[in-house]
Amino acid sequence: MSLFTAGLTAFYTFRAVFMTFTGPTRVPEEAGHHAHESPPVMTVPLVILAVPSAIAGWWLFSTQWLAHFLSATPSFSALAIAATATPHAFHMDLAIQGTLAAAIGIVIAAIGHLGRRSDGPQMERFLGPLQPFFANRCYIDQLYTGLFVRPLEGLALLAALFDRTVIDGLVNGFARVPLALGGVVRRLQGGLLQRYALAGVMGVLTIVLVLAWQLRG
Amino acid sequence: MNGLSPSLHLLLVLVTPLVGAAVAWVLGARGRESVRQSAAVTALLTLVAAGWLVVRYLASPEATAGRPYAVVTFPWLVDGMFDVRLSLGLDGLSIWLFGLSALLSLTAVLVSWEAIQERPVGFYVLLLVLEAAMLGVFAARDVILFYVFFEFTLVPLFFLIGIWGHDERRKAAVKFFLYTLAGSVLAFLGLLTIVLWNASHTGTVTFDIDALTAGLAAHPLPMNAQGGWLQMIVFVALFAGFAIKVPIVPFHTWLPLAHVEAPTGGSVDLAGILLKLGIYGFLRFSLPMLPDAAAAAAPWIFGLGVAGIIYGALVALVQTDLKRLIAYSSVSHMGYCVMGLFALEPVAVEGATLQLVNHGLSSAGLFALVGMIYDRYHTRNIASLGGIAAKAPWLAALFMLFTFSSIGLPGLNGFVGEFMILAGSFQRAWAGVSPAWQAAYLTMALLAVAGVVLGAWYMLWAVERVLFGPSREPPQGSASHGHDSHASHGGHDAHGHASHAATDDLAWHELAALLPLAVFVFWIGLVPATFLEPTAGAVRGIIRPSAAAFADRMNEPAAAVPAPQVVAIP
Repeated sequence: MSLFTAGLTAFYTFRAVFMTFTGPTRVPEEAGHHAHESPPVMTVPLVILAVPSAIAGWWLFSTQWLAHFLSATPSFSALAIAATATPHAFHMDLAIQGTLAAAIGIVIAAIGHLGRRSDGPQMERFLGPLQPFFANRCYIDQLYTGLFVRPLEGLALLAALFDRTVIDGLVNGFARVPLALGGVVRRLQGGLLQRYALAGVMGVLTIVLVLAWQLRG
Repeated sequence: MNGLSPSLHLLLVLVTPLVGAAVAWVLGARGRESVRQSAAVTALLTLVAAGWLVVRYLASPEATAGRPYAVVTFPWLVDGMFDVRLSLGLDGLSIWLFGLSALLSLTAVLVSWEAIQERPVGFYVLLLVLEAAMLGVFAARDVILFYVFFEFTLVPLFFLIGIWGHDERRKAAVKFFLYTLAGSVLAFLGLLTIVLWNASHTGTVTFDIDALTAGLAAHPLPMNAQGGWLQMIVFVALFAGFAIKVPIVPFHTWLPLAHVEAPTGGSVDLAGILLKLGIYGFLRFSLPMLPDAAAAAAPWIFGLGVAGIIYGALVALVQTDLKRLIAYSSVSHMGYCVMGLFALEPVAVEGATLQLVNHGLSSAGLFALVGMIYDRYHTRNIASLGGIAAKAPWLAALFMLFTFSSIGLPGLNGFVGEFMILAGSFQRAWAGVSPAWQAAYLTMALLAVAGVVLGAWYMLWAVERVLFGPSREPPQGSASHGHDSHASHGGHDAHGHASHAATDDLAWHELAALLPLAVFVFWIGLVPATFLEPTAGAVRGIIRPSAAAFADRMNEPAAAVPAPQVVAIP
């Protein structure tokens, strides 16, 4: 699997390289009639990066510097990840396989694109019916949207609705209770003197009757 | 001037805003310029004095010993069984909030510099009275002063929202005031019960918080059927008051309305300090004095905290008004504090205490910036705004900074608090609860982590729309003042028109309002130990009884079944 990926990586990298740098010149209108070399402020850092990139592989492999450096990681020793010493031969075996896979990838890319006019449709034809699947990034974005984003947005709308109607409704409902009670009690104060006088007389009568009853009994 | 006694220093800090309010009132006759200048000078003086007091506290022996500092005591009724004194003082728990109150008051004054055109005298006077009240709450060391200042923070804000607010200001002010007041009256009943219980068991009627804590430790309120579950009842009463202020979902619906309708200066103080009073109340009263009830209720309130995180984040996601979005983000972030507090794990509670300060800084900054955007564009509708970064890069940069602070980007203050809360909660979930509770606690902790992602989602979405992208400028000065203007508006448009061209970057007063906050955002994020150390001792002492009670509960078998009695059968 990893060998296939290695080959694939080489393939798509060099496809882009061949399509861009070889074959007949095609320049978009905005750039004028020809592409020009980048200014030193861009090329010098690239050179500085390129030199180590070219030699790093060989140097790291022959000195095993990175392996030694990483093996000193505290968590490795704490978790007792055993440093497995792979035999040198096995290293070379894998290295040759990887290089071969990359070379095959480059060759395939060259077959398709070296020197030829860059061919977008060629890739599409190659992938055939699978092309839309890959062009849409394996629909992972849509999957995430459908699985997480949309449900959460729906939930959010529900929550907002709940907040407005239920919770706030309860709170405002609470506020209406004193108003309602007041509305009822208010009617007792009609303002009519006759009603007050009647209430007063009834009260006195009631007290007298109760007292009379108490005294009798 | 180190000859100034700390107690006098504290009194000075508390009195300065009040004196300044009086000065501003007198200067009112000379016009808006003098009023706002005197208010700014007062706020600056108070900040310097408060900052100096904080520094003195940090260097004082009381801080290391864990004793209150700068104690001021007025004997009020000391006779026989009465030992009622009014006392003030600072300790590890209140020191940073005290400083923050002074800092945010300056921010509030500066942010209102241009925005308040009508009746500036009343506005700045109320803002300074509010500052005094906020400083007083954190300095109070007895129940009476605490409650007085607690309520005193409501009154100026009621007027600030009701007079200088936006379209629905009357409704917002009334709802905010009544809702919070109802809760705090219940809380006061609970506090009185504590005082009376303590009086009946120790023989002295005292309102001093330290004395009450010690008294209740020696004679705890009953937490069983014979005692009528009194401790739980008192806890619920206190919960009513503090939970509404935090706010704990579902008691939060006053907040979006109050925040959106408040003038920017009011929002800064409301979000920055007033929301912290709830958690502060839990830390000062509920946890130390009612440990068994707190331990019993802890899992449920922990759950409510997590629910608040997710719920607040979800509702924030669909908001179209930028200020409302940040208001709901406040609900979500206070959920973290609630969760950290009721994990009853030292790391989590310390994180929650720090997060109070962090949230104060970040949401004050965000509300200030939203106010600045409103001053320029006269709308808070996200769809109408766009591409502000191109026109006002400093505004955009600071907006991004406070956004990242709010989200919890490592390196900034929000991360420290959030991380400690989550770490402590996972500690509790993993090793600190009985197996029966473990699944629930782990799920809740995981949901809280998911809440971090949600937080990033809605904030970055809003920032992307408003700051970046194509430039959109809503029509200037037309009917885009917020949303529905009611016909019964009551006359004038209270906020007037700020003298900004829409494309102006930050003015001097806006920069001055935000830069101190930004400094602390970085400071707390990079060197949190400076801010964590002073509070550590106080916090650990506060949660010790409830954490112990919680541990006891978790180790108990699920149902205490009495051992079967063996009956000898003849």
